[in-house]
Amino acid sequence: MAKLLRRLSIGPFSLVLDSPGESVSLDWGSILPGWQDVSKAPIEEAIVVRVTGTPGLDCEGSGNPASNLLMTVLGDEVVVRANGIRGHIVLDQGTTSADFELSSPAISLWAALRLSLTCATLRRPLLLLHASGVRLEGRVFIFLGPSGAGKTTVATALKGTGHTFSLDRVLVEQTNTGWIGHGTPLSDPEHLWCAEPAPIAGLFFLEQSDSISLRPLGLLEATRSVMTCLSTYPRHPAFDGHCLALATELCKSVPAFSLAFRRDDQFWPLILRPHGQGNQGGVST
Amino acid sequence: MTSIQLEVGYVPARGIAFREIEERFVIVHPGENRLLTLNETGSALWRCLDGRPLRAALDAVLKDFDVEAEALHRDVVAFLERMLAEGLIVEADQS
Repeated sequence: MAKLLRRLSIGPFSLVLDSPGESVSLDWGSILPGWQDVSKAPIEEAIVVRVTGTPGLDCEGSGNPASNLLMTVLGDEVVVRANGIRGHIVLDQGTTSADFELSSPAISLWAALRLSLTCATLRRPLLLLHASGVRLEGRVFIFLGPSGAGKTTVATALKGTGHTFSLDRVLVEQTNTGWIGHGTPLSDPEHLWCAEPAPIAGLFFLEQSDSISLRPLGLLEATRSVMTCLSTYPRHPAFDGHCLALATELCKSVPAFSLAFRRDDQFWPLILRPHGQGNQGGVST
Repeated sequence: MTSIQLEVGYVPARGIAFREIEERFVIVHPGENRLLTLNETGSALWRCLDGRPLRAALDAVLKDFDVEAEALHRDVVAFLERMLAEGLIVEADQS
């Protein structure tokens, strides 16, 4: 009988890590700092990740094991193959079950978790973005860009302006009332994330610069930018189509900007100006 | 020697994800983590990749652009050869 470990809510999901093998020693806290049961609301979907083998637990930043990922989608089953990782994910109604074999110390259990989360978003209007977020006046400002772009700097250098929403990954969800963001604990060593969702105020693609400027993005450029910041693995048409359609819908509804900034928080007055909705024809500032 | 033939129809390969945004087509390249954004002419041609013979597709594109037929033909063949080689399109009877 599998031993149930701890569970955590991320957006509408409940992540459950489940170690069936006594020989596998897992330190979940080293993967998701702040790992704890924060689920108080009813859980819409459970993601159960079972792990066999000897996982490496400290591989974040030591390479992307999913960079040569192959996925095969067969109905509601997803087979994942990459160097040292082999996963089998089943999408049942209301539950995503994932079995992984991790044989290489260079493979992170975190990758298995993220893969499972990615697959779970496949059948829902959700995207996992490589982004940070700041919550201000009930809305979340989402900052996107590759590693080193300044996402963490923006999300932590608030100086009384707002509250950290998420440091490195944000789940965005299309709802009947518009797009909302969910903070996540992924890559959040200081446990600063916020579990409460919030409507999205805007998407801000970071560019480092000596000056501060805000340039509205048209729908095409915004959609392309979102696609480059997906923290998913769109290596299969089922993922490609899902992500591209959702990214387009997101950018139709939420204003998007290129934000050139210095590594300080002097840009806030600029982005707090009222903006229009969506990016059809651009938004003036 | 080109593998593109004017009397053959071409269609997007099965499962290729693409979307028209602001009159430009964005295509997710399968197997690679990259996006292709077609220019105006490429988008017009992609719109015509519905199985009709390539010659008819070229005629349709020519109506909308002020370009010489010979130059368009040359560019389209090069474009489609790349698309075919990368698995983004197939001959219509193979889809």
